[in-house]
Amino acid sequence: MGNEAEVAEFSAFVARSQARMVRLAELLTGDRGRAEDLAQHGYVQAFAAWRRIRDGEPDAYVRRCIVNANTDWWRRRTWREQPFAIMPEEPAGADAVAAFADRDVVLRALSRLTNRERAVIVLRFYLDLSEQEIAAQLRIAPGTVKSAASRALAKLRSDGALRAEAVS
Amino acid sequence: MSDQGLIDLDYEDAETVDLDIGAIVRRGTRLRRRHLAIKIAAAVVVFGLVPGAVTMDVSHQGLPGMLGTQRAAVHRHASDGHKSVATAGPEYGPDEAGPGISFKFTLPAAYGPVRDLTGEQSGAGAWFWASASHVITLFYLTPQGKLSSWPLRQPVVGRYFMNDAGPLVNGAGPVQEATDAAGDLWLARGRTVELVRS
Repeated sequence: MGNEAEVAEFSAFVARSQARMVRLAELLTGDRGRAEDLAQHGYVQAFAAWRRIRDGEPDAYVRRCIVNANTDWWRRRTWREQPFAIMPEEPAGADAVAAFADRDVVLRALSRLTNRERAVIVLRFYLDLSEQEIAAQLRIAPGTVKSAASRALAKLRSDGALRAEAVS
Repeated sequence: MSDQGLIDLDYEDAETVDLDIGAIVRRGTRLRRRHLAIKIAAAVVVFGLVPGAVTMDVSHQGLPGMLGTQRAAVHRHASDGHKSVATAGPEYGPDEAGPGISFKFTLPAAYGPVRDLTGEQSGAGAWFWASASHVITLFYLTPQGKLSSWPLRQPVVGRYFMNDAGPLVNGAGPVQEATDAAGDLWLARGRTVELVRS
């Protein structure tokens, strides 16, 4: 495959998967700008390995890169972690307002979790990974996954805004 | 974990995602080059520092009935990755093979005398050392004429082989003898190794 054909194939892959990848990164980080940076990082890694992964599961490869990069990032900066402040940008209309509201509620609820709890919840309920897979992905014990998920779900259940959103 | 309905992670997103594919490709290309450079550097380090094995066939006719000149040898410098195959001069011809000698092999002149001739304890073959100017080399010679060599850097153990009577030299004297597990007798004299089968 020539270089141009390879770039075209890769560009098509990015075009059809980038929304999901940025969503994943945003759920993990709670920050749209950093989410796009993380997704871009995942795609850079994927392009570097494209000849090896294109016939396999490139989506899974990019997801792994995003999760690992985020994990490495929060492992490095746990000691100075700050809660996220999620503020919607200028809305364009009523639908956009509703969409931002939904997203804001979800991201605010996730931002009240610790990094590990948030990662466990996102991997479990967004990527639908098993406890074993999450443990491997985050390099923690399966028992830690279970306890982190339990704590996270308890926090989410007690989140007033999230409960209101769920029943509305 | 059964609270999937508690939080909807598939919320509608009003923002469009438009990553810069050109930048991704450029950075990915640079990353590819860096990976390639790392691989090349690793290969240089591995082949430059770790002794590699070189195997060649030094028999011309194969056994049985292998009588005659066996003059090839391997000379490989582990330090710079250079490999060359040298052929020794016609020091031993068929007319020089004595009765009962079924195989004879001579190292090239760059090497010193064969050291530490030892028979293989789990099969047929002989082990020995020889030193050249920059390397000492461990050799393994089979009755079929297969010669394997593992060059080692001189400073590691080379000083033991610089003198004729170093502490690791077991086969003192003009002729060294060793018997392998197959019962074959190996003789070494100077740079020549002989397999003797009755």
